[in-house]
Amino acid sequence: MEETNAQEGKGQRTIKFWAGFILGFLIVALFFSLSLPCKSKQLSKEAICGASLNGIGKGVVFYARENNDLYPPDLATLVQAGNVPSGMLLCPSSGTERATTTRPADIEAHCDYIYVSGFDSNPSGDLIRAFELPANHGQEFVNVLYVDFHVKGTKDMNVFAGELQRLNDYIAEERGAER
Amino acid sequence: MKKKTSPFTWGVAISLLAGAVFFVGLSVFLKCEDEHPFQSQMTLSIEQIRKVAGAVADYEKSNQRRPENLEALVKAGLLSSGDLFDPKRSPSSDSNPDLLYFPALRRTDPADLVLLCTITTRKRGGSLLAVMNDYSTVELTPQELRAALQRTYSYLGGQIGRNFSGSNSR
Repeated sequence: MEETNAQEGKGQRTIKFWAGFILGFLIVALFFSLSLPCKSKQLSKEAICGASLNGIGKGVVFYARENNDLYPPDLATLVQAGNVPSGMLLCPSSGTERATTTRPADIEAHCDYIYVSGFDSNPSGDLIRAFELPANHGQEFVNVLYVDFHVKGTKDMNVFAGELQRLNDYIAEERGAER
Repeated sequence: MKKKTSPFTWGVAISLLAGAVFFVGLSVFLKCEDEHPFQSQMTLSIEQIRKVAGAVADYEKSNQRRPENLEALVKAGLLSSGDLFDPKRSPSSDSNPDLLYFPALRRTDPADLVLLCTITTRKRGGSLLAVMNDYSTVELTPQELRAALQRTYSYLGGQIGRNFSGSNSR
């Protein structure tokens, strides 16, 4: 009888110990998850930035639908037409403040992306339509919106530079041979 | 009589200690990863970019037009292939030059458009280099370069523009 009581007591002590252990671990995990340096925050900012470019792409499509397949000449026009909010022109990593008015100069001064106008589509659809500078993400990452409206992020700056140069070569070809 | 510490208290105390050690270690590790000094190997010095700009100008003088691409300057003997790359980099055959060139620009286009520029800086927070259409070399913050590039693409978009609702001036 005494042996059974002793065994029950030991079992209860073990359960209490592990309950305390788990509670303590959760407290520490919660505390540190709030204070950890921001690898994960950086990743989420890259994703939000990509989502902004994606939103800009959708805004361009909506604008074209509403304007007889004419594409917007710049991002300020998209904001003024109500196809994207001005906050969507900001990369969360850059720290640029949101435009307070809908004046084109104000929107342009509070924008982190570069929009390439002048063409609706090209045979392969893999030219850049809008992009950001790598400085937005500490020069280690960059998001790009392509002519066919897909968004891709890359850490390979050599590939990014090559794609931008290809865009510039395409524009030169479109503009004509005279230089 | 001394009160015996309960197993629950022991559990909390041990896990707090073990958890703190684990998370502090993780935190230090991640912080170390994050603080590796960034060193781009894809940017040119101001002297290099001036040399490239000088070569474009020389090519333009000799041929009455700008080169189709930067490799044309190497073929014309105005530059060596190494002039187009960061000296710290060992470019392979598929490496792209470490500066961006706008072959569509003409001498008669506005002077404040970007003809050549770097897209990364040597260190975080450094300035970017650009050669404008009048061959002046400037150091710009990322936001200034973004504005200059936007100006350039908007202007060129207006020149080639079809099927967009801005003022098309082809």
